[in-house]
Amino acid sequence: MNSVRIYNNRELSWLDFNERVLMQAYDGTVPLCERLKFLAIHSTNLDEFFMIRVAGLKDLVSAGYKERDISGFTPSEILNEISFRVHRQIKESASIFNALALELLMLKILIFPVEPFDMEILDEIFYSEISPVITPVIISEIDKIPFIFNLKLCFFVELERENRILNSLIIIPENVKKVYKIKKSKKSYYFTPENIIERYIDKIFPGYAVKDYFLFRVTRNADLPIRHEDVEDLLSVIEENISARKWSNIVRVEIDREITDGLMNKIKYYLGIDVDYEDKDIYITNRPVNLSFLLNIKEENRGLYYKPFKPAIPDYLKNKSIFDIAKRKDILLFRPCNDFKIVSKWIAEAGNDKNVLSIKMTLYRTDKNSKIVEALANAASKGKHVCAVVELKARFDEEKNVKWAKKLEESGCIVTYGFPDKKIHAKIFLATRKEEGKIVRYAHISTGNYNEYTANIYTDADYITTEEEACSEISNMFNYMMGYSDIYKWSRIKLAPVNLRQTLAELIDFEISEAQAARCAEIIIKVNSVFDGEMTDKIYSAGASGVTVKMITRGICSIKSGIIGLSENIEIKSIIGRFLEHARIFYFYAGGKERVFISTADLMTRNLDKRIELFLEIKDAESKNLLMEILEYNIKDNLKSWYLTDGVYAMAEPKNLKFNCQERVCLKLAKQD
Amino acid sequence: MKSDIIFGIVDIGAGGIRCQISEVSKNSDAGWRIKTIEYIIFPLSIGMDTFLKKYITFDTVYRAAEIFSKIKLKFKEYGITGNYRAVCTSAVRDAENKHFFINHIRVRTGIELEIIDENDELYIKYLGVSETLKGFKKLESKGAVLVNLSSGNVGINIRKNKIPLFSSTLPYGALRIFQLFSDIEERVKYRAYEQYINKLVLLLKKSCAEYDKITSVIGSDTSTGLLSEIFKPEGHFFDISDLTGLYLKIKTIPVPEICVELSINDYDAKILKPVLYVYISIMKSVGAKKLYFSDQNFSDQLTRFYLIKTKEKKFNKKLIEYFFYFGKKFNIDDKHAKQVLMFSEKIRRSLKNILIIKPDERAALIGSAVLHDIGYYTNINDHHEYSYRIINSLNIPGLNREVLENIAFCAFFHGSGEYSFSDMAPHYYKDKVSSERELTIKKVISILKIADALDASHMQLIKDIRLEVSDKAVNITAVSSVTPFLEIKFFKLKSTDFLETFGIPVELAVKLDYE
Repeated sequence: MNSVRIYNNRELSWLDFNERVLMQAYDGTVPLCERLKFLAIHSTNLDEFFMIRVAGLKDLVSAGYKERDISGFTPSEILNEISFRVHRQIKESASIFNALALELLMLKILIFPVEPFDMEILDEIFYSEISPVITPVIISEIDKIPFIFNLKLCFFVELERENRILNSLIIIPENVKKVYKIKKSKKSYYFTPENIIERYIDKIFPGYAVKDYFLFRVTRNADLPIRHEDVEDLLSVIEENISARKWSNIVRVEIDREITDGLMNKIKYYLGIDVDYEDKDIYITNRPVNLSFLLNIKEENRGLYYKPFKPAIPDYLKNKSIFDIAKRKDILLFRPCNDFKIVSKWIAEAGNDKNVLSIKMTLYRTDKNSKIVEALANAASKGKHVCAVVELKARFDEEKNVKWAKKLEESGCIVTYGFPDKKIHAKIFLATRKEEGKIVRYAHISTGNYNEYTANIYTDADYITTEEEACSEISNMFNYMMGYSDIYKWSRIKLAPVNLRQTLAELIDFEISEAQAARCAEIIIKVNSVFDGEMTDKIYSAGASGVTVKMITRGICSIKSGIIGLSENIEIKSIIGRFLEHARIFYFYAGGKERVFISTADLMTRNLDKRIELFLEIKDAESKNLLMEILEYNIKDNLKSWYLTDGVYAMAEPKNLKFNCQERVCLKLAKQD
Repeated sequence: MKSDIIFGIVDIGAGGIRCQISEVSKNSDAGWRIKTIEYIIFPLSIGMDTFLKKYITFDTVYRAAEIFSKIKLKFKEYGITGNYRAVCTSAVRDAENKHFFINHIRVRTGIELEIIDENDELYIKYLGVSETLKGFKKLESKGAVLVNLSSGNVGINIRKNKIPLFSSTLPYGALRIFQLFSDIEERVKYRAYEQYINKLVLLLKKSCAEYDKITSVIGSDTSTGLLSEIFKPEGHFFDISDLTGLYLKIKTIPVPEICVELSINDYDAKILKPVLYVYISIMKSVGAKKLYFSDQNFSDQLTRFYLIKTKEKKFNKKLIEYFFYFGKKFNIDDKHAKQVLMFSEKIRRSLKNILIIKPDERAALIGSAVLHDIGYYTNINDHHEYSYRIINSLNIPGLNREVLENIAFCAFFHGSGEYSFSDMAPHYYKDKVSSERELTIKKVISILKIADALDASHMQLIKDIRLEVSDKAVNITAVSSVTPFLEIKFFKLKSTDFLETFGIPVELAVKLDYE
């Protein structure tokens, strides 16, 4: 089935996703300051994409690799397509930014105001905060400019003195604020440091005439090892030619305005960019180069933000101990509609509970000053047996993770770091309690991280159970991750990379056999991303056999819907809303048994083969029904849904009833008894 | 024992160390309930060292210590301090440096290891199978051979009508066989296995006179676990045709290919050929079509054995049957043995208010009552010494070596002389017996000697006895149809130990049996 046209390309599919994020900034139904945030997220997403994926593709090109991937592109073709699409998105982004700035102006919120301004405050900021930390460098006399670090903003300034042209660089240091806000006459004025420097640029070079200048930044190859899961699919094919890889290569140059050919040639020269080849990697933004500052725009007018919502606590859990409730029934919570504090408080409670013998938990990405980490440390200091399996390899979070790990170790926790070659992505917590002489285990299985901050903005399922078989296998899973042994029988839970791929194949095969026997067969898969040849083919087989397949895939999706004879039965949608869709839920009709699973795994090769992921069937009827209802809401959504048809994502057009699944789920859970 | 207890078992086997944490509770209606909380297998090839080099290498000792550090943490997690047993089988038992191994683990982790006697191991496994295999009773009564095929040894327990006809542990373990012929070319290695295993079958046929009465074969230990993993049987048996089919398929192929072919690990692939051929050849030799097995693992069996003190149902009754079965082989005076047994049991029961007789002491009393004269078969004059030797050479499932040895000591001392060290050659006795154990032996001998004296003529003149126990004396009234002169004479000679042991005299009165 591996032919050229039936798979979406991974990078382009991701760019489609990021464009859908950008469209949230364009969406007039989204509050203004939230639109700014989407604009910023689009921009920071692109930064990471260039550092990792574009860098990887460039390595392939440098190594002379010309093979086509499953979507039919060679690396250099895909780089061209990426450049084309990103240029288009940057243009869209600039126009949205300008439109939003105008709308904000009407509300007396001024970003980089051009109107006459009280220079005294700006003088104060410039002379006391910015000027002391910047060091302009004259570079005309040297061949090699100072190393410009990844994503550092930098001014290139052309100066004139005594009829002599000189070039200079001003690198904007990190230790200045990202945004300066000045409130005056009921107006809000926002400046970035680079905006202020621009206003004072003449003052920085006394005795020189500033002829021209521009702001730019470079994006460099992130120093990910070849075996890193984010690039392994690309770089493993050139393993033998890895010497061709140059660390910290420049993969993108962004310039904030159109510049003259002369200036363009100069910057290319100084950055060592090949004039013929790299033009497509230079992006003229026509808006602030780094939009992440928009995340720091804070206004008091609540109308500029989403209506605040209070995460709900179901009545049956109010002022109750989870231990008491979970003994009687399984608990399903859905973030952020349900309050994650229910879980974090329970973890703290476990640490103080005299009957708790041991606490074990995986930590992948958690927030600064995490209460959960504190709770674990507290439990250990009280003499409880506490084990934390810390995944240090969570991308860009390594340093933070090392800090928690140390803190936990110092307090007496047994901290282990999983596997050198497998990232631990499963989110599990296990408390073992002695109740009336008997051992009772309480397991928490989640699709999301133990992160109190992201718990407010990511959708995720939390499941708490005392079911013996599940708890026993989760206990084995900790033993496995802590290096006790790798000989276990997994029957209640499925585990990547052990048997998850096979389990998914069997579940899909069953639906195929049902469809072939002309019986009802249906699959609903809600994940973040799909990109795995075998899984894609399996889903295509299901579609081609008559299984009704509904894919709710927020990000990358290798599957194309609507291909005659192959994927006419496959519906693919992506929901981009107020919350980041993050829960992974799987539904199989299973001959009427209707089996529902939650997981941490996406249908990506890395999740199925390189990560420790958990896949658990929810057997508790009440919890299962709730998850099925959530899936139904996802399918019904017509306000935040994008449908993939003929390779293009298009917004749903609501006919009669407008349906926003995120709002509806929260509404439903707010009324939960 | 409390109603709920968290108990740890560590089974140190040839291919790995297994740790099981169990919650054991007693429900008055349903009896004992064992819930496995955790079961962890730590792969470690101790057997590879022992069976090839005869000792456990430093590297393995250190790796074992690392594993035991993890087990210690596991014990800590569940608050297990003393309530565990860490049991070594043949891989440690047969290693020359076993004491170093045990000491190293103790020093490094504080965990005390014990070496289990091969007969105890066999018996525990027999109990496990008998409790969990459906239809076991029927198989056993028709005649069955229990093959406990482990890495180091094969334990053979042949039983018919609840009686063990043969019980022995032989060095035919699967890994041991693999190691023994490791230098032979892969293509013909199976032939060496076959020759060696055929010798085992021959040995069994020669050693067990009633081998031809066996109809069933029951397997146990990790070997049947491995076969289950491969065949995934729905019932608790494998067909000989399946086992033979697999053996023919793999017998000439090398270990790495077996791993790939059957998706099993290297260790299992190494032992698979010997495992299959041992079972196939024993099955063929008795004409069995099925190999039965129980899926209860050894850790479960150990937990049950140590914590619940599992014994066979009506164990003492079975024990008496075993003793008479063995006695019969050596032509014992059946009637005398029964009479002495009856008298000793009566004396024991009458003393229960003033004296505690522990279960092992009772077993020794029963055993010595039945077998004390077994040495007559070899030499009538020094029969007590030969009794000692014969009893010590027996293997009685479920009876640990110390109890059997106590029976042998009692048989040695059952004569009319006073119990004394000097009667026994020092190498038999000295340094072997603790003061506590000596008391046990004294208790049993004191009763045995009186019971034996009461049938000194071997003619059962005294038909019955009645006992009255007061603060001052134990009064025995013997009911006889004639005056039992020999019995009265020997009673006087043999009753002195009783006073010395219990601090109370025993007196005999004879009542002629008339009305």
